[in-house]
Amino acid sequence: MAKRKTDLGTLYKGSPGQWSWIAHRVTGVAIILFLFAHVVDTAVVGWGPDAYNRVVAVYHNWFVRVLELGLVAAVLYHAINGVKIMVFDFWPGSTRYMKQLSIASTGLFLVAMIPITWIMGRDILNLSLGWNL
Amino acid sequence: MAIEAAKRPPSTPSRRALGHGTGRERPAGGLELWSWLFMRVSGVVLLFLAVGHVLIMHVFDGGVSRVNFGFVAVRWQSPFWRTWDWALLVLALLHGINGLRVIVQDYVK
Repeated sequence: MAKRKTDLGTLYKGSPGQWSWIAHRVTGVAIILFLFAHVVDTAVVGWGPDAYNRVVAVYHNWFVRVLELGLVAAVLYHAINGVKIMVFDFWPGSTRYMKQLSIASTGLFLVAMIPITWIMGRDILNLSLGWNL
Repeated sequence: MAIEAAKRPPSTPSRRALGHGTGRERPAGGLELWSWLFMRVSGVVLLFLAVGHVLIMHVFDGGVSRVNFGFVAVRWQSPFWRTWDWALLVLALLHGINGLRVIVQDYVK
C-alpha cells in the first residue's frame, strides 16, 4: 500500500494545475449528469401545465436549491477554468505564469460566487427556515 | 482508477502527470485533433450560452422560483430563446459526452 502512495505522487502532486485538472473533471461530470436529468424534466412540458408544474415543484424544495447552487458553481468554475486551459493551449508561453493564472481564475470564480451565494442562499434560508430575507 | 493511471510505465509519463499539465495535450492529427478543436470551439460558445442560461434561470430575477409552465410557454414563443436553448442543448450534450470519452481514455488503455 505504501508503494502505491508513492506511485500516486506524480498524479496528485498538489500543484494548482493538478487540483484544477481534477476540479475540471468533477464539475464536468456533475454538469453532464444533471443535463441528462434536465432533458427529462424539461421534456415533461409536452404533457401540459399540470404535469410540468408538478415536476418543477421539485426545484422549490430547499435541499434541491442547495444542489442548484452547486450546479451554478460547477458551471461557473468549469467555464472560467476552461478559458484558462485555452490560454495555455493557444499561447504556450503563458504556462510560465501558470501559478498566477491559476490564482487569478480561482479568484475570479470565488469573487463571482459571493453575490451568487448571497442571492441563492437567501432563497434557501427562506424556504428551509421560514425566514424572510 | 487513479491507481490504474499511475501504473503506466514511467518512461512515458504525460506532461500532465508531471504537473506541467495545461489540460489535454493537443493530438497530432486525425479525428482526435478535430475532437480537441471541437471541445475548445464549443467551449467558447458555451461560455456565453451556458453561463448566460444559468445566470438568467437560476440567479437573476427570482431564479428558478418563477419557472413554471407559463414561464416556459412565453419564453419559447420567442425564436431567439428557442434558438438559444436548442444550440445550448446540442453543444452541451456533444461537449459533455465527448468530455466523458476523454476521461475514459485516460484510464482505459
